[in-house]
Amino acid sequence: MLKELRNIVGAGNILDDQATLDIYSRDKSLNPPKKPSAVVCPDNTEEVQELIRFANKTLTPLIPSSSGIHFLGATLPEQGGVVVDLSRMNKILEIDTQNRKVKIEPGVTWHQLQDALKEHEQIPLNPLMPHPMTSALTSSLEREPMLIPKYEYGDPVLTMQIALPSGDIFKTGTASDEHTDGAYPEGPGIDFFRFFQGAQGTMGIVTWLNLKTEYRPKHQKAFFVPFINMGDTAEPVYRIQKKHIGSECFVLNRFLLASLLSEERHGDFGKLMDELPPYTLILVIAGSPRRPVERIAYEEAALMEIASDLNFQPGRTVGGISGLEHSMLDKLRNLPSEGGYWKTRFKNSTQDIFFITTMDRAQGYADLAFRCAASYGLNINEVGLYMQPLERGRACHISFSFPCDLDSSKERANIRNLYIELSMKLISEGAFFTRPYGPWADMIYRRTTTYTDTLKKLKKVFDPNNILNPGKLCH
Amino acid sequence: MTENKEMLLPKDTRYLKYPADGPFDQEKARWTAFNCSRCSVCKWVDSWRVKSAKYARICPQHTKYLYDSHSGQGKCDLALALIDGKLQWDDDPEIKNILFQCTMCGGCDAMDKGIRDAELIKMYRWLRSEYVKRFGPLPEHKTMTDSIREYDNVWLQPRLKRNNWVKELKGMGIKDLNREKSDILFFAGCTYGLSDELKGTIVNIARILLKNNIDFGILGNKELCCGSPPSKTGILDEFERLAVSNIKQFNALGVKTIITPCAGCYGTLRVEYDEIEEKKNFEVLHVAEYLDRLCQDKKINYKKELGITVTWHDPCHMGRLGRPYVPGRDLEGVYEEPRNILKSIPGVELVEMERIREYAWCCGGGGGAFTGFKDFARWTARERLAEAMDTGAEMVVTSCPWCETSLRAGAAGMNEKMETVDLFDLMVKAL
Amino acid sequence: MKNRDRNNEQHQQILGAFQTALGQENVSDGPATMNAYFGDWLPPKTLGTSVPPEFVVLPNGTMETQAIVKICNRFKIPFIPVGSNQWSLSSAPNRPGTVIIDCKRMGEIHEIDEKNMFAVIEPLVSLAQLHAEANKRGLYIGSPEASAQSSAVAGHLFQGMWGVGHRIGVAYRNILGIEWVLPNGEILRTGSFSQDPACGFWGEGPGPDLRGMLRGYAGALGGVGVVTKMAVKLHPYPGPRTWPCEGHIPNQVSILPEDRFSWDIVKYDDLEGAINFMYEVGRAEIAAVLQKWPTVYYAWWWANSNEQYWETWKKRTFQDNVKNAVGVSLWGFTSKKQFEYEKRVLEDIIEETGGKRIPREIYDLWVPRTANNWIRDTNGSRMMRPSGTFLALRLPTDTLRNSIGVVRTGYEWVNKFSPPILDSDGPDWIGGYDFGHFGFGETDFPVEKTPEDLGDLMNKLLGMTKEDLQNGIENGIGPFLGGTYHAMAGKVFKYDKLLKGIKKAIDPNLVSNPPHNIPVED
Repeated sequence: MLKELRNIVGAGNILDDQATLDIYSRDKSLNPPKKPSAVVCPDNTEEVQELIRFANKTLTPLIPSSSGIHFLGATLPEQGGVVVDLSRMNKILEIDTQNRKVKIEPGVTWHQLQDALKEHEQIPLNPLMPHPMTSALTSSLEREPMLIPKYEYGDPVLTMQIALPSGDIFKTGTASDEHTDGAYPEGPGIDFFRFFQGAQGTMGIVTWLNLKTEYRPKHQKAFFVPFINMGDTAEPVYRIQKKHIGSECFVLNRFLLASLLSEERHGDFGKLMDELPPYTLILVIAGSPRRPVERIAYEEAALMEIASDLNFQPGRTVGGISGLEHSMLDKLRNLPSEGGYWKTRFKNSTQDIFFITTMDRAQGYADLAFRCAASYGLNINEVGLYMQPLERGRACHISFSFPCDLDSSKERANIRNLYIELSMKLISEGAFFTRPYGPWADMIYRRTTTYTDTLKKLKKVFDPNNILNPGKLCH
Repeated sequence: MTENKEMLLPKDTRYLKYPADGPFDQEKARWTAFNCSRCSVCKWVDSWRVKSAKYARICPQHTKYLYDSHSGQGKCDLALALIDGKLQWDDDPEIKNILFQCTMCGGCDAMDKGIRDAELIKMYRWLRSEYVKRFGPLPEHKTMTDSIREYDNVWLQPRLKRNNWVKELKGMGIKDLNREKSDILFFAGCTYGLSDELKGTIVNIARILLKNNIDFGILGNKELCCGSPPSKTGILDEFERLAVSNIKQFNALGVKTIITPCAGCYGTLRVEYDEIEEKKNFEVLHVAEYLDRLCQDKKINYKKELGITVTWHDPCHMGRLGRPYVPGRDLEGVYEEPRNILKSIPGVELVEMERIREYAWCCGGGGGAFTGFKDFARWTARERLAEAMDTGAEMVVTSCPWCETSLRAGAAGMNEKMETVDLFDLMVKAL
Repeated sequence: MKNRDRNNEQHQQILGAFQTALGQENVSDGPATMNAYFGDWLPPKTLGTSVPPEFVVLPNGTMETQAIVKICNRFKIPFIPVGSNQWSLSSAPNRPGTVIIDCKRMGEIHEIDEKNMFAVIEPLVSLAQLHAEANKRGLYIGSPEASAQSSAVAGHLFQGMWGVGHRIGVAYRNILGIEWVLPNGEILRTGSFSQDPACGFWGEGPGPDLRGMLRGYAGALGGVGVVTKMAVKLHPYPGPRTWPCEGHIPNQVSILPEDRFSWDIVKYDDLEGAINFMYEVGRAEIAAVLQKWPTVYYAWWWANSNEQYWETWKKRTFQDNVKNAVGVSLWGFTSKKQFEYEKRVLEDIIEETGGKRIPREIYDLWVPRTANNWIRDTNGSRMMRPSGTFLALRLPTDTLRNSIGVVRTGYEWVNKFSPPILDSDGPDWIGGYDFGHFGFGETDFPVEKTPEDLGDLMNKLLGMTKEDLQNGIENGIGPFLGGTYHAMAGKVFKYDKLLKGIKKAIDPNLVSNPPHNIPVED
């Protein structure tokens, strides 16, 4: 097998030493380790196709992986097989400023993408401060929530090229027609691109993706609004969003905001925990290419009107922290290329439970999560809560973060039990887990019988030999 | 681009300028049917006029019977199939229902005229006449037909009874145009004139006119049916007979203006008489149009404050079917005049239903449905009454004996009460 | 191509099964009723053979629809779901024994969540109904050019190139949860409808998004079952709670409050200039509607009669004044200040790009009666009026830039076949979507509604589509033709195997409007 793989990707790009296999057999999640038999690092689409043909021939599972960091167990080889590490494919293939799109390979990180777009006055639609190694392609395909809810048309994913489980190349949307600019995601025939989103690499290996980009503002202001309760943020955010105010807009609880702002675990973190309010709404008001200052002025005036109506106080800082505005804008606009991950500064992993709901339901879920955490003996001041409004506030992404020391088996077990119990409770209460990773898959797909059944049928159509990431989702 | 070419226009000149005048025949029926593009405009209130999901439908027949065959579009399909011989008249007993359930309210017709030259009501009348040619009038319409043939009215009443309503005005000097002269004819209509329940309305109108020294006369026992019921139910020979007789009579008497309180008579005299070649030397007004002038001139002296909230139901034949079709021209009708009158009555607050004017919902009383399809007519009326109730009004005011009869029949047996009152009866209450 | 005789034993068995499921009054097999369900907007036979359905059924709700679909599977008879049945293209039966599933008893708006801005609707709910209910609550959706009287569910499944797509994307990107009877009779609930308790707020997942099967450039044309319930997005609206409209049909006018809404029609020397302007407006993140209409649209939507249409056309009222013009509507979502800000930005862009406003008299003539049709349409069906019908050439969606080339080649084609194509002045519609991320092109032109002219032209159109395909050009026309096209295009664009696989997987008996969305050989 190794010989054949070597023929495909070259000798230097296949790893099968125990140390490497150990690394790839676990990630930052609490899912049980699963060891691959090899790791291959293709350089181009043709090699990926060859790998797929090999896998079909030998019925070897292939587990696509785009970056070196994983928090959710999606790249653990459930049934063994070969990990296809795509991080070498890290080129930005095209920046189309006129149509505001960018074409990227799987290994491109958010930092890399953001950096490359700067000189074109563009930004990518990235999630909240991703890990420096996170793949922009995978992150977008897996529908991680973007920070800016103001683009009502949403959906940053455009067209893509996929190596299908048959080994054939398939391009979605207008990319299928070489006479176009390849911008439009729907088609050919049907909306194929949707089958590859949220699929955890089970339906095909995406070798490039076109993403929407938006204007990178030259003028901007960040506002911070303190709140005592999670639920108190809902009405202000509904009003702000419905009035088309602001660009980035999200809510962090004290723990997560302190983690984001602090440089060191033991340095300023404690001070921040003392000074920050329980919840902070962060709202960036940004200028557009034309008359940016005027734009900021009318949006700010409208924000203040809502604030006066609802009696909340937007400020340029919160908890008296100096330089907060500058620091926040810098963090948002200049993602780090390396270094530690803010969510794991506190402990060496974060176990996140996230789902989609509506903002008026958020407080209920927060109560549930904190009660549950307390019942497992956790200090609820050290549980993270992030609320990301989506699509002008139509819905929101809620994420609870439970820091966990992966080196402590006791803590691992405790957090895992909490994770399972809380997830089940949240699901029963209508929290919508759109991205069923790890143990969620079973919880979700048991309940959605026809969806599950249909998904299985489709998987057979796309991947009759079940070679792509078997054991994930309902496959 | 065609700059260098001669302008390319349709070969069929009907696309260049639709000949709305002239007789409506099979060719025109086919044109209306053939140019149906299935746009579904005939099924809904004009989109710009939709105010809620609840009151967005325009066609009672389609709303009730659901199948597309029972809509304007379906009737176009039917007409085309029958004309082109794809369907035979006796292929399906449902053809009768498709053609005759319709209340002929013209809702579809009016909505379609927003987007094309669709003369749906004329097409329906043509289709019904073709049906009657083959199978005779509907059994449910037979009594009415016989009555017209026998008595020149639709209510099986002797001609002599026509004059009964005037007895209440004895001594007030009402003119009989058969003996006396006046430029203005008050054309009472069969339904107001012969119904004990409704005749009070025309007595009230006559009183108002007399009190204001309006010089007018009536035809008394010589008044004939206007021809509306046979015209709508496919008995076109009877319609023609009545129309010709009427026109001749009006001309002979030198009548210059006809005023009628009946919306059905109004629409027939004003629009359908255009199909009759006989020259017409008179104009036709609804009493509301005439009295509105008096109200505007402040000639009506109200004495009482009524303290009531009302809503106005636009009768189809007074509104969207009250003017001949002229492509491009507003679908005008007698919409503002009755509203003006209502607003002039002290203590009357007018609140509007969602579907009004040319996009009003039908009362259920038209087109022979009230006699032919009673349950459907009642259902249609109740839909309208529900809409009226939603306005918060205490009563529906209208000015058509058919609407009044149908809405009252609809209200019978309903849990919530919604009274239907004639405009002029309400007016008199304040005098 | 003949249905079973009504006395045929199997016909009676099927009829009985339907009647048991729905009650006698909700099932018809009468020829007069069937006659209303097999035409489309073109004269008979233009699009090929069509046969009346054998049954029309009126299920109420998901369970009854499921019962019907299961009966169709049991007897292996094809069914076609229809919404409002407007302008049907793919809902005319093309094979004998077809059952039309007419959704006329499914007209409820189940829910409008004002706070979270979505509505849950059944298939008969029209876009106008939904628009009206949304407006009451300070929300809006779009309505495509033809027209707001169509089913909102069908409209969302089928493209929905509405005017407000500049800001909210086209209709089918506004679908949230779906309840959907698959061709095999199973009930599929997608997005947040898949959860218990079900709610409509989110469209994707769980996991891979099965909406992918349903949507597409022109919907699935009834080939993947029946959607019985759908949650759709609504958006914040700064307009009045009741749609403004004055006057009478056919001359009604609609003017939105001038302190929050405006229309500008800006013209350029050439198409490139117009498209450059559209890019700049998109980049500036202003406006709610951004559309470059062809001359013929100005005349179609506006004219109150054929006579007015042809008189103004002969006088070149629009050809001389609105060629290469872009319609842009600014909305004051945030405040009057925002509205004023956008006006200043628009002014800058017009000046920079060398645009000129169309003459005031043309603006005054056209805008009040016509412009707001791009927010809530009512005049769209007027495009049939001047010659009985129209046809569309190519319908590419990609970038704005890409649309230019496609509509240009469209001019050439239209020229080549005029006559029978009537005068149209270069019918180049280019719509801007997603703040200029996408452009949609369409070449619509008037043709006289005669079977001869249209039949001949349809053959040429199909010929051109085939030629395009041979050259690897997609251009969007095909999806409207459904199965036939997918059979051809699927090979070129390499999706035929996947699509056939999907169709077989969910429709093993091939009962859901075959040959849509792709023909499957056994």
